[in-house]
Amino acid sequence: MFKELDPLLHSELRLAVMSILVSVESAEFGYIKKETGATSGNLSVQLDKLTQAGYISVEKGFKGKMPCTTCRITPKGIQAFKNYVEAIKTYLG
Amino acid sequence: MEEKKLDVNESLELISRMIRNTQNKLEVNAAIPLLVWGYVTIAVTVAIWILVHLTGSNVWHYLWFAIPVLGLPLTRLFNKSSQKSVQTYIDRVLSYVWWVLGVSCVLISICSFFVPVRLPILAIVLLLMGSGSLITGLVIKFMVHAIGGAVSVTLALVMLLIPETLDNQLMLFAISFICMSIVPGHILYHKAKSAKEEVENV
Repeated sequence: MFKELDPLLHSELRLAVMSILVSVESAEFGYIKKETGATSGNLSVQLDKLTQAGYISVEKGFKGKMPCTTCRITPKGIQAFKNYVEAIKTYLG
Repeated sequence: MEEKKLDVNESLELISRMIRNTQNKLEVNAAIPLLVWGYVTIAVTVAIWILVHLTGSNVWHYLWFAIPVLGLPLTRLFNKSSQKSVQTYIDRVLSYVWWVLGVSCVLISICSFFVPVRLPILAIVLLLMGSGSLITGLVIKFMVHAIGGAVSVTLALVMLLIPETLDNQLMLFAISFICMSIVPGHILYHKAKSAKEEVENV
């Protein structure tokens, strides 16, 4: 029986962001942008969607005098990621 | 990368690639603490050796406290220009390990002034620092650092066993810091720099 894939995670950029955040404690916007190769605008939109779903938390601060956005995965996000991987397994049989 | 829908295999490939890239990330600033603490310790050790030999006074041993006094601000200064853009769980654990070991070294050094027996303080500090390097090297799978740590632990035990003279104690102490800090620090720095240049050239 196939499990339904979370539509929020079943998108290339959002899944890439969640895969990065699940393996670290926190990552800065610039790091995620570099690793995913996304544009700043697109990445901001996708981070907003993940934040609204409660999958990640975003903290805006400063690194020296430069503004710095730091992202972290939430427990709800970790659970959603686990569920997504479990759901994928059902497709692979 | 866009907001494109993936098939199941693409999803799995993407997840494993992102996790792998993040875990293999080597940052140049990972080498900074090793180099700063290594060079500061060697410089202070050599300074003490020269000053004690020149003056014949043991008062110069107070200079050991210059290691944390110089090491802490220098590490902060160098890290400021290249702060880590990603923080892993291993980073946090290792940072706690080094804080505990560092504070223990300072406390035992202070205590050595007040206890009635003479403590082999250099051997104790070396044992703590060597253990920290061994743990760090094994955790981050950087064997040069782990081997440097093991060499330092061994030399700390040698320091306890051989007759104690200023020359052999300071020489073994300096050799240990070359093995566990300076050599791995330079190797890590060049590895991370090459990896960064490789990524930038792709």
